[in-house]
Amino acid sequence: MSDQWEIIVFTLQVCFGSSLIILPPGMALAWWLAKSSSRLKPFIETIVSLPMVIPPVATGLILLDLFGRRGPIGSFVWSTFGIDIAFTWRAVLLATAAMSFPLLVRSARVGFEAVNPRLEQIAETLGASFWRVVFTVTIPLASRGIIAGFLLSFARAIGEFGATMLVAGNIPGKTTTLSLSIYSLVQLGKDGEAFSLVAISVCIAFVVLFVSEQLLGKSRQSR
Amino acid sequence: MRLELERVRLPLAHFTLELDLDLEGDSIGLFGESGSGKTSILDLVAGIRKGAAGTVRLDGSTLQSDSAFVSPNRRAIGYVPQDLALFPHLSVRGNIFYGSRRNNSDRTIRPEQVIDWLNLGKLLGRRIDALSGGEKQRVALARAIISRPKLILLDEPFTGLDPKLRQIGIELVRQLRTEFSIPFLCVSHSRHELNQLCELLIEVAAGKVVRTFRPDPAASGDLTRLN
Repeated sequence: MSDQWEIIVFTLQVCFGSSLIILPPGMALAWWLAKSSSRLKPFIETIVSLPMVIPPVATGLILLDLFGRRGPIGSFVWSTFGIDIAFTWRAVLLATAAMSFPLLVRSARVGFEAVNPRLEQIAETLGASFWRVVFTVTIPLASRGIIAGFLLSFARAIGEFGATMLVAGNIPGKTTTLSLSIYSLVQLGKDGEAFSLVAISVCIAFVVLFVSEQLLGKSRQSR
Repeated sequence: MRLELERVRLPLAHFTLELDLDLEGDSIGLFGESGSGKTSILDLVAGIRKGAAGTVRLDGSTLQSDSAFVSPNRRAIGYVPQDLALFPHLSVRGNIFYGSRRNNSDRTIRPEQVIDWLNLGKLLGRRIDALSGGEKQRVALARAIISRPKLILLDEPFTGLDPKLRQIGIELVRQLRTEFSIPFLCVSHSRHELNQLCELLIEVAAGKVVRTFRPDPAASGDLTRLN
């Protein structure tokens, strides 16, 4: 049970961390997609959504190629900072972040699109700078979509399997998450233990999805 | 107050706004049919929309020209739009003090004086969605005044008010000049309202100025709507 508890804590920590890390760039991209009329927009939208439709193992393979010790980014990080990424907890963070990024962006974008641009314009006429408008009007009014996006990305990260398996492996006590642990337990024929982890996963996912759907519903209504 | 719109062009959905105006006065009214470009003129003066060509000057300072554009937050022009655009996530206090930090205006206006004048003291802690239409209008006006503007733009400020509140609103806007010496440019589709308020009227149709004239006080009893 203590092993399972460690796995649960590790999974929650890593997934919460990855959702936090993608929050600033995800919000910035969602804002841009909501406001921009650039011709590049459909192209960027498609690229952002790609991890949702291509096989997770393919995403994992790309990440492994980039962040492995022989990959362009991985070798740079290793030679500069002496830090390994692949097959460590950092790779779990990377894989879950990559896989949940599109969900964060899509929900946050709904939130930003629901903000009446007239409010931002009037805030400017009241002397507010661009950043003051963003932090005092746009983000507070888009907050439901942003929080829903954060929760959805967190839930997606908990369920992540394929990409994590490729880039982080399934190393007990080091990179094993809830999903990877369920897989291992089934392989070992320990279905009872696997089901107890499944029940925990379902409970976490249910609560997170329920709250995010409530928030997104309210955000859509205020459009 | 002197507002110059020199050979200004702004393409809109159905026509191009073309203006060549030199206005002097502290209470100017703009009227015309719905969709004639009145709100776009206010947006242009506020800097929310940028004209495709031409020069906009306020009291000699260039706000827009072919080589310069002053952003809305640096114009010190207050704006009360038709939908009021009150910030729903802020209290009444949060709304009316939002622009009080402006540092590019030389006007001195005490917020307490504005709050007293508009009788908002008891509403400061209230949420915006708990206010009546008339209260919301007063909050929007207070917010614009407390930002210490050189000019206030009012877009259909009395729409949706019952006749009694409308008359109170007209009186409040009239007092903008006497209480705070703030000039205003007011848009309305009702010439009657503007007759009571303004020293100079401009009629607009399909993006062009039809005429500029001084209102006839005798016509202020005329309730004819122009839309």
